[in-house]
Amino acid sequence: MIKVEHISMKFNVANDKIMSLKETIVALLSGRLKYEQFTVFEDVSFNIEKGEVVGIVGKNGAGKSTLLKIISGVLKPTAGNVSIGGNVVPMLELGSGFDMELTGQENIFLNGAILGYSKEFLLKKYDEIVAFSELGDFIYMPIRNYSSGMLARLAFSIATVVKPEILIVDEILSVGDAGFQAKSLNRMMELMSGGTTVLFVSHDLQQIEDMCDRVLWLENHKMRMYDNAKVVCKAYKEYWL
Amino acid sequence: MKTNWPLLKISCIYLLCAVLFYFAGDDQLKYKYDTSPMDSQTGILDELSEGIILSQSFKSKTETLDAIDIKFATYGRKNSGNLYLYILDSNDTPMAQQTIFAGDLVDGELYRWNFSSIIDNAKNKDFQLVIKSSCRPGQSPSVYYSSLNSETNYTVNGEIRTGSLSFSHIGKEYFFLGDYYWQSVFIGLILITFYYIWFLYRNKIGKRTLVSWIFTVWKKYDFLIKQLVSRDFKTKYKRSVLGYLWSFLNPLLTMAVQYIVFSTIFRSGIENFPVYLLSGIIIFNFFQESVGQGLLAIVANASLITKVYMPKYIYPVTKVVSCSINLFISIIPLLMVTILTGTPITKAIILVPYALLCLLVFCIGMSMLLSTAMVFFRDTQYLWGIISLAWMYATPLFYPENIIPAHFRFIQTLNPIYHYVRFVRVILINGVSPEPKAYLVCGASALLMCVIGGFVFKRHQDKFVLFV
Repeated sequence: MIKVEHISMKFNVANDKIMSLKETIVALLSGRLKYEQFTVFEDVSFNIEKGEVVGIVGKNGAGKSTLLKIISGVLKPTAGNVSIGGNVVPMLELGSGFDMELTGQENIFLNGAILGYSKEFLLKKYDEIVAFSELGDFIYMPIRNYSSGMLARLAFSIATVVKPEILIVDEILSVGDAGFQAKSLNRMMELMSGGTTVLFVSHDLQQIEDMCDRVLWLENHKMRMYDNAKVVCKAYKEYWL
Repeated sequence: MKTNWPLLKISCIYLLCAVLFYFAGDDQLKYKYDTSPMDSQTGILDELSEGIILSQSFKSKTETLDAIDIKFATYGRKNSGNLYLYILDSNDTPMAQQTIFAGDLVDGELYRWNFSSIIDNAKNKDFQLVIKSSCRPGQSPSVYYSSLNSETNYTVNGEIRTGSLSFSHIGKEYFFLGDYYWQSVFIGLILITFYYIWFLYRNKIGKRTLVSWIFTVWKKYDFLIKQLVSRDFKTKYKRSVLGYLWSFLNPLLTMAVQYIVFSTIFRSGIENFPVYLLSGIIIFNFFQESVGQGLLAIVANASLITKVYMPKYIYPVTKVVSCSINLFISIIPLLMVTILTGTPITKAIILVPYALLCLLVFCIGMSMLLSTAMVFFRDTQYLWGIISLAWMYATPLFYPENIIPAHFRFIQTLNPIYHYVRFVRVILINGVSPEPKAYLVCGASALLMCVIGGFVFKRHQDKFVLFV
């Protein structure tokens, strides 16, 4: 399903992040513009079978999110190959494709289109999305009037309506009030057990152990372990002790 | 593909366009009138009374000779008698003649003599203009002359003098395209057929062609593009009272202000100034607005670009396309003003979309280029503010085109926006199609910009994620 072969990710990092022409010229003239190569990770290879739930663990800055971005196609690896056999749906940071001036209804279509859903699919699932979000008549209001909880509900409902072949989750989502939190967690569980290949990052080791089949551990620019969830979690816990 | 006869459909559309174009372009596609230059006048000859014969030979640079413009002087009095004008060919055979009543002449103005039968096959042949008179002394007009050019001669009663009489000859210059229009259309059709066969062949062996790539991208992302465009359009005037009416009012009010300023304070003396102004304003505003928005497209969507994969050029392209809706709405006030000022709307109007299409393609190219630059240098947006201001003054929007001195004329020639504006103005104000060269210039500049923008964008798009 997902085949990752010897990928490396390296950035050219300037001393400072130079953003303007003036800064660049000044830096060039004073000879301060030196690029340092920063390696996120090197030579990472693994396979994920269809329907597997794979967790990624590692320290902050170990490259977990970068790896997810490479798999979802946003970033291109510096070296190596990634082949993906299915459509990838990234679980966005909630609501990042929303437009505050539009109504909830319009945003369902806008955000849906951004996530790569087709028009037919959205028309068919529209009622389901509205029902799941429990927004009722608020759906016809511009979303700038929504509370943050309502926004999160809408975003979550749109993001999870699809049954993608590959789902990418950066930190698991549980949003809204207690009632909705339970509901959204259920939805996530449902998705993960429903034959979807899931890749997710979390710092909650318990969650990872409960949900994942296999776990990938990134450490020191390398893939340290890729094995059964129990085994990796045990090793990871010991490493931190 | 679903359609069973795509080739037939494409050919029909192509032929329909060719016929429409032929119909709307009319004579402007076949030839243009060329007027020979006239040296600036240095004086007036002695009066042309009976017995005086003026003559000057000239070489026609055009394929036909249709008319002569002559600058007469009347000494500010009422003259009487006749002037006799002849055009002789190199064998001294008269090709055209005309009798003018001296009392009809206006002092210092060009007199237009349209030949009753046009002289064909004139290119590079020598002709002679002969003027005779039957006016009495004291009641005779005269002709302006110039002594600036020492290479030409004219004769007064057989005596050779250096310089030239103040006249110019006007004739038609035929275009290659005009002569072979239907042949070119036919060749185009054959090319389309060949391309189609090649396209089918490439598809069969599973290789991509540019067209099939565009098809698949469009199929996959048309819903997204439509959503993004409708989002931009819906939110543009979202909380304003007048809403979409602003798309009408904005250009109209800008025109009103500039019209008052430039017609009463500066006195520009341009024919049909309201239409002249408005066409320039609408086109330039679109250019400025769409590129201004397009260059922010990547940076403003940073949160999406770093999380979802979609072809990145969708962002600048949709920005320009959503601005173009505004452009199409503002065409309505332009047509209204054209009708209100009493300019007849001719069949050439169906050629306006060509200029707008070129403009759109140009803006897309420009947006791709600048949105790339914007990712790496945030100064781009401020620079663009200044550059677009300078660009506005370099384009003849509210001043006449010929105000620019000849040695700065390249500013206009190299300015694509000027060509698009001029294209629309020729159609609306003169009611005719521009000459074939204008089509070429507009199309080529738009494509060139699009290719440059697309190329730069493609080269750098993989690095966007790291910098936004």
